[in-house]
Amino acid sequence: MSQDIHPQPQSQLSALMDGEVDEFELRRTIELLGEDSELRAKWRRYQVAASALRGESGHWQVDLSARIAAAVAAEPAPRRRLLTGVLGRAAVAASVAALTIVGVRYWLPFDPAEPEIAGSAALAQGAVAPPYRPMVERPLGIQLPAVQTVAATDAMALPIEGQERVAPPLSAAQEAQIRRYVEERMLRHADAAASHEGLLPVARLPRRVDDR
Amino acid sequence: MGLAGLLAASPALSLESLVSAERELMRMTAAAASLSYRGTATYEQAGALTTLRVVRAVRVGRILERIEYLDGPPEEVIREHDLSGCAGPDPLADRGPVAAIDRAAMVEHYQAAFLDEARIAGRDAVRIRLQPRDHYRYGHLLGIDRQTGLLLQALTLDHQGRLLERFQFADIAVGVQVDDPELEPQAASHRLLRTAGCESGAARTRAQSWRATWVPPGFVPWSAPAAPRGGEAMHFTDGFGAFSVFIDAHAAAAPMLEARRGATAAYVRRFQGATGGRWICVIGEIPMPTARRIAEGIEPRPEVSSTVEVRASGGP
Repeated sequence: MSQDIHPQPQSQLSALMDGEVDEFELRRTIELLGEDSELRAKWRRYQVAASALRGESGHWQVDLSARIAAAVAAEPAPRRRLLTGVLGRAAVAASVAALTIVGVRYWLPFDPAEPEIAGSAALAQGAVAPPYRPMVERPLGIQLPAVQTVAATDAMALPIEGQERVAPPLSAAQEAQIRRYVEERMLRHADAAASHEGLLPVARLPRRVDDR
Repeated sequence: MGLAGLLAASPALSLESLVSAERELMRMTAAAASLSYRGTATYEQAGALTTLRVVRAVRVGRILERIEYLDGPPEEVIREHDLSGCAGPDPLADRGPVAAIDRAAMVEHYQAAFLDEARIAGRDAVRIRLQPRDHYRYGHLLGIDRQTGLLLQALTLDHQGRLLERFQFADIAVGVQVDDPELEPQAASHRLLRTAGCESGAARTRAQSWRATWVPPGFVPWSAPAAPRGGEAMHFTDGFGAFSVFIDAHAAAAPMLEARRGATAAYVRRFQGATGGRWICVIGEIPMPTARRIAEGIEPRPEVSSTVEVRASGGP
């Protein structure tokens, strides 16, 4: 390599991937990469080359550089925030991962007088599952740690094929109910997975489902 | 898919790497069934860290585990893993993540390769990469103890290589004597979790009144978990990833929603049929589009054609 690649960011990003970097080092690395797009590109090429050398087929590369750049761009905030951005909305101090409600479509209570919802008839006939259709027009991005409730609105959700109607905002109580429902099912899923995955699902399961 | 197919799919993958990865996975499978240990593990997702103390003992016909959460409120899970129902040549069961899945079928869906050697929990480990061959499932990176074959590290990654969750031992003593008192619950708050290693999932799933018309190739029915009253549940795995399907008569606040926690995705939708409304909830360590597609394919089982059965291609 003829050009001067600062050795530090490379080793530090490797360490970052293994979670072996302290906050100070991380910050320095991120700053360097965030400021220098050329360095980012080099880093990425270096990754590809290293991957090829190890005999990897190349389509499972960890391209941290772009994400770090995005995180830097998105978060001009204090450096503490920068760290959390890189690590993925990390609540560094939290010991229980927040359940993130990505999107909610609210259905009004079913009215039996209405025609059957489009699609379910086809499904009942064993038709092929409908193609993937993004459901979330506006990611709500609600973080729901213990106790805290966040008022959510689905006012942005547009009706699709007459299936949905614009719904009133969810109340805090409804959100808490949603959270309990999902976490309770996550717990059941973890229990089922523990029969073949052993320890991992137990580590993964949401804790204190009932007393929140 | 034969060996030629494997190589064609990934010209850079060396045969040696594949063989060594396979060997490590087999060692890991055996180790999961036979080793007692005492250790401390960390689990990290969405930036949140959980620390666990784990004691595990292998007894006749069962495996006993006490898992204690070391942060947050004092809580424990006591797991009793029943091996008694296990028949056949491999009665050890609890065969780890590779459980019950035909290995040949597995490599159709993951490309296994030796990644590197690493030091984990103060021990020499071999790291294996499992790269999914399609976009229906996540990738895994497994750190396997060189000496014993025990799984020391498990990372789940998405298709962009983003780390979704990391499980890792920080410290472990393998092959130790574990006495019964150590396996007794010690925290005031504990939960007993009974699992079984040899559930015949297909048979139990067949008796249900709902079915999945689509699951990702390689996923096979594993069990029918306990469902809330009036509901049904199914559980599938491809040996590394897993998901559950819940059919509920009632759901919270009647939403249609997507939710996520680390590597775990949840997709809930309403099903409206002639017999009334249900909520279809798919939860698992799978990408959201996969969860959505599975959920869209859940339907009442036609009463007459009860022989129709979920059977993913390549399953055992």
